[in-house]
Amino acid sequence: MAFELIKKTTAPTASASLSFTNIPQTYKELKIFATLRGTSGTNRGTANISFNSDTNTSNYKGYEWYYEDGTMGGEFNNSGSSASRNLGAMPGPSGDTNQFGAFEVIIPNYANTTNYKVAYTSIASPKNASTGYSYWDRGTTWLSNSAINSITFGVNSGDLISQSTIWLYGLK
Amino acid sequence: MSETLMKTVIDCSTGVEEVLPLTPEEVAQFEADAAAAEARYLEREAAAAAKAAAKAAAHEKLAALGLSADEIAAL
Repeated sequence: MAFELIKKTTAPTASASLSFTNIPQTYKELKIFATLRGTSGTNRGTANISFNSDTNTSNYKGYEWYYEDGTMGGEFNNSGSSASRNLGAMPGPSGDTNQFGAFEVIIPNYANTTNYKVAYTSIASPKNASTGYSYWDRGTTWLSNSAINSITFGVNSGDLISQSTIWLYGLK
Repeated sequence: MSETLMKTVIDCSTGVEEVLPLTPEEVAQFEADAAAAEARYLEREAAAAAKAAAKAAAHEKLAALGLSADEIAAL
């Protein structure tokens, strides 16, 4: 088994979203690495995800735990919750210069057409010298049997800054 | 945020990368997400402030009972 790079992209300009379309259906799972930073939310913004252009929050649910500002936290986002498509924190405009959040997203069995899809996300996001880091782990379920053929990374407000980069890999 | 909301789209089958304006529907979704995120942020901040206030009050009460700062911290 080996991972193959399907596509890498670096946002050429500030973008509300970065999308991969026409994803090949020939892999066992997808693995995505991303370095993201936003233009909104003071020292941190929030990235979100959607599959096949489905942004209806009723079609997603998720659970997350996080460590942020010295506090451990966690919450369950029912389908329909405004946070059901969230992934977690990334540095915002007041974050220290030249710092991006590191994202890893794993989506097994993404091409099957009989089960819902689950994505596991792990994030380390530096904020700034006074507030330190955010760590997030999150599971996101897309309540659809459809094969995933496109993935969109978005932000809850503002833009992803240029230089935000995403690598999309497939496991043979 | 750019004046016109833009999106970057990469077609994995052709390798073509395009920067396009959001459709009106996407702009509406984006604005709804932003409003929900702001409300959620304020809710979370309020909950954190209430928790911090309750913790401070509890510490004061424990100190009034004669516990030292080290003893309170050990709880």
